[in-house]
Amino acid sequence: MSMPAATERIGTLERILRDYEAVAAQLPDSAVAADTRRRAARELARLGWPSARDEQWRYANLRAFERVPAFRPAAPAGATAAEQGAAGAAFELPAPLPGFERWVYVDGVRQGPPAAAAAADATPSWSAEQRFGLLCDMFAADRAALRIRGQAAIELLFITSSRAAGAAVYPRLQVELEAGSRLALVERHLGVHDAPSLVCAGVAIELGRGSQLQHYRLQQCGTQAVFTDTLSARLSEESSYQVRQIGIGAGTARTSARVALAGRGASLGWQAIAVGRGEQVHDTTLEVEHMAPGTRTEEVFRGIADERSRLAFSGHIHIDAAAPGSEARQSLRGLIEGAGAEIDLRPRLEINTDEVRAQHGATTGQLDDNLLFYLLARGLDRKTARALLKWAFLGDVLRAIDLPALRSAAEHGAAGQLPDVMAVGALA
Amino acid sequence: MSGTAGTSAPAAASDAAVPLLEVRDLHVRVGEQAVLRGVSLRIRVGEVHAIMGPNGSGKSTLAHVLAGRPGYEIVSGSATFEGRDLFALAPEERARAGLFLGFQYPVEIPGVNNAYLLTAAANAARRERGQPELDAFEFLALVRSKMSLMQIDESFLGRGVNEGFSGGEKKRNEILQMLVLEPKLALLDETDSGLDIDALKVVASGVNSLRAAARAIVLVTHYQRLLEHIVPDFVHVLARGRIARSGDRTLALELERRGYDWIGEQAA
Amino acid sequence: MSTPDIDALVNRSYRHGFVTDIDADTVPPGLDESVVRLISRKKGEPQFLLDWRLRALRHWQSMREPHWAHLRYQPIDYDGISYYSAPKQASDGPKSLADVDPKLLATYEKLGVPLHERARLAGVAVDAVFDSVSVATTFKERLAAAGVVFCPFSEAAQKHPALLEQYLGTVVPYTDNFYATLNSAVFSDGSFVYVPRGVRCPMELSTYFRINAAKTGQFERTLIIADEGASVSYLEGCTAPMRDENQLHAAVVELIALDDAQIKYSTVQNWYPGDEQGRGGIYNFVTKRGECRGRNARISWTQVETGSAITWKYPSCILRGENSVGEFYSVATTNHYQQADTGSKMIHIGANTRSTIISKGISAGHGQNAYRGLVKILPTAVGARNFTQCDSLLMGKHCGAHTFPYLEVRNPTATIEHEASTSRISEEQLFYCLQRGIGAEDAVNMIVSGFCRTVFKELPMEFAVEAQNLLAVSLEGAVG
Repeated sequence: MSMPAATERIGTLERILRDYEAVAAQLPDSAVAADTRRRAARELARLGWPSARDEQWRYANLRAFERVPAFRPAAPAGATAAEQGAAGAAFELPAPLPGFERWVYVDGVRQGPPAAAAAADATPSWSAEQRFGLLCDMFAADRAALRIRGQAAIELLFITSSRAAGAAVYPRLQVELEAGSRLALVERHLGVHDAPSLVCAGVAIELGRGSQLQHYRLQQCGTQAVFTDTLSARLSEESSYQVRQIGIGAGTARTSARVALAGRGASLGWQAIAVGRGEQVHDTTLEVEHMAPGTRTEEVFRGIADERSRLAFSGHIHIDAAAPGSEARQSLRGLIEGAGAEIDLRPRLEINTDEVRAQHGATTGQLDDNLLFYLLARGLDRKTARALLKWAFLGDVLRAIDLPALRSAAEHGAAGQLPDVMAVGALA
Repeated sequence: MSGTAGTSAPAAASDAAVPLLEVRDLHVRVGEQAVLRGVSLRIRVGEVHAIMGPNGSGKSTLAHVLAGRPGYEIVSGSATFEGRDLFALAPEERARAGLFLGFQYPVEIPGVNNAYLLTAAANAARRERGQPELDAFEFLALVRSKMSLMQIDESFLGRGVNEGFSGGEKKRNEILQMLVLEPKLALLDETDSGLDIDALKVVASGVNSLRAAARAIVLVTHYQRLLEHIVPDFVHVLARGRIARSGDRTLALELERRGYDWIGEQAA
Repeated sequence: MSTPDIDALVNRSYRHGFVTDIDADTVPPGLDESVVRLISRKKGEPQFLLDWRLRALRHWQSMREPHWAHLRYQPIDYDGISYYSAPKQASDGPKSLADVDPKLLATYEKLGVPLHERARLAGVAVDAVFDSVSVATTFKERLAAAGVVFCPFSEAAQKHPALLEQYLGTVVPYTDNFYATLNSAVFSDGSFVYVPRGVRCPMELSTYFRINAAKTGQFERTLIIADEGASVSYLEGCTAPMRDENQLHAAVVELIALDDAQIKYSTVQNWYPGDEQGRGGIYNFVTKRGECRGRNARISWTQVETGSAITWKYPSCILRGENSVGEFYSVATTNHYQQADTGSKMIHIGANTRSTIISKGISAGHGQNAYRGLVKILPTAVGARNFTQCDSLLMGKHCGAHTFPYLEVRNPTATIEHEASTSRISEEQLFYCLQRGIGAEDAVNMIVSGFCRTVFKELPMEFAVEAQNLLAVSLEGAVG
């Protein structure tokens, strides 16, 4: 990508700050305190707009973000609940997940009664790589704040409606698990297909001692959406954070995640799938810091780039000298299907002590001809055989999604329509 | 010496019907190397043929070329299957027409379970024959009966294709697939290699259960021992890319006694 | 690990750290146009070369020092460096070994460089560069008979200007990067090799570089061209005296392989690494790049990096020609406070191009060792293949091992694979060896050389042993 001219970069930042000044007074304190918003604006001004020359933005489609028509939130406090309800109703919601409590956010604002006991606002201090998180601090119109004691299962639907066309939506999610608690959390971003808009999520996770979070993240925004999510998680002793992330939608998507394994024995499993078609650009940077002894990371990425799409995954694992006995594994694999497609993988390890077990593997290639021939020799048609092999390629991650409804949504989105695989598998 | 030696015995017993498989003067190259140098073969329904030969004689190549594996260059010659030009068909079309290749080294496909592969393959073949597709229950009933014949455990259906299977399990799985697909012509490439005697018997009984007037079986093998369990009607010896000798099963016994060098000397 | 016995295995000093007392002709520190003109004049260079240097200087003045590497060091004072130093002699270049100052010859004897009769025994043609000037090239006649040109760069500027003008800067343009641009402006000497069409160079070629003078930078430049069907194997060795201040070494190597040509370039880099506290040592910022310009060309880099306080180098291959092959084999050790950020770039442009990267990093003491590699498959590189393996061995709680690979693929028929592992010498392994009667130091050497074997076997025979010995020396005192 050629460098945007300096004036253009300043232009984007200026537009953001101008939009902020225009709406700041109307933004609710209940979502983000006014001085937190101001601090975020100042910090963004200090950091400036990123450039593709910055290592962490090397594969991002910054131009798409620069072309976002407006940064002001689509549903400021003034909008009535009725209006928002109407916008939500126009969108067909996925079937509810059994056993899950469902919260629906339309254009960044909660539908229905407000949460009973909202936790205090916990704004992480975003790093330079995570500066889009500052946007969410500046503009968020509402927030989903979860403070869990005991056990819970919650599904969050963030829906971008056609009302958000030409504006932005700032889903904001804060999760705190008290010691020993368990939460199954579904975070699903959906959108109507033809609404050009920015969806800019900010997610903060705080896991107490021995707590467990299963975090399922599905990004299925409309193809006109420019999506970004910034996630910061901090793990205490013996806590476990399991992420299953599926990125299918949006014209451009960028994930900037940072996980701190701050307590002894904390563990992270991050399993991600990205599927690109058309001219989609998906890029993820995941930074994991092992700060305490005996911490573990297992990182898996599977990407399929079809047509002219571009997928990138940068996994950066840093093991401190203070983290002996840590283990880290990265497995990044890309499949290029389209003649104009691109896959960029960056498995990075930084190790600062000798008592660690760390390894990474990365491959990019095409479907294995031997496997394909085997299936053809059994009479499967080429299209089915290829779909099946793609599905198998994603299998590691798909199998890790232990909610059937979610898994089939992911499968259909990712590998395309397959004959009824699950029925036969389930019967057997 | 003669590349057409293989046709003599079946030709003598021929009737007027179109042969199931007819290979004529087939020359095949891999890269710069000529692997098949004039193979002719005629196979009719109801027959069991054994193709034997030393390592590197071209046996596996013949089986793979007939199944349509990429990477081989057909220099000259022809092959017809029920009168259709085999080389004009894609691998999956050959499979659906009823040609089955049992692989010497079946690949592992982690993430694709056996049940799915069997259903997809069986229904593709049924569609081709104009038969209705089986639903999951009918299909399972069918597969279970075949599985018990092959002494394959129930849990197998939910596992990935050949994933983590032993050599013997992979071979039994190949035969299971064959039993489910009921091909007209089964080409079994070194199906006996790597099997202990018990597994060999299981595989042989599976193959024998498929022997019928309406289909043919070709066993590609290095050793005679498989032929004690699946008795062939015809035996062909392939050497240096040609069929050096054809005969009945006594030829296999003679080979066992005298070794392949004997053929080599004769063919030289 | 902290076995007291192991802790005791500390420190043999840098063997090549002596200073040779020779009158040197050194320009005052600082860099401007007059220095560049002076260097060019001293070399009696043709006008095009002076013009090229000046363009580079002007470009360099507009550049900023890069800081993306995983390295920490005091800022380099570019105005405090002398950009030219030469042993003082009646005429500028020695005509034969007989003309070379005996002290210099003695220096190379001490270094173990086979400059004299030993050269004949070893069968290696040597060009030795002392500070900025090439002092001798052996075996000229025999090479000339084969049509091979192997001479100091400055001599090539006078005798083969057409070849220089055709090839210089075509792989590493003078605008390439901060250090390469600086080198383009002020490079003093280096080696030039041209192997004509169809010729297999009859012997190994070798250059030994030595920095002697204080407060000088060394900026040599090497250009190797293998014409169609030609082949050559080249080895470069480097040493420097022990000094408390840091010295800058910013070299450029360009390799060009035409149709069916092969170039094998091996480096044993043993610049002064600094002392145990991290004082002194060479700052080694080097740009090495080869281009497989023709079909079926092959370029192979092998490096054993044991020296320098800072190493910043990425020997790379541009695989333009169809079916061309690029290889990179590397062992890099960092002990005490040494830092290395090294690796390779494989740029696949032509169809069916193949590349292999094998990198072995060994970190001990407070050493920081980073592998940084780019494998880029362009849309034109149909059927391209890459395999990369980078392994790290850590010894001690305070060292660091880092891998920063970039895999960029833009062709659906390409296949690339990258594997990395990290291991350490465990107390169990050491104890096992001790229990079998093998001393700790031998045990470490054994384990390390096993770890590096795949790279050592790529070195020309005569140098594999030397490399292994160097590695043993550089890791002395590492276990603890």
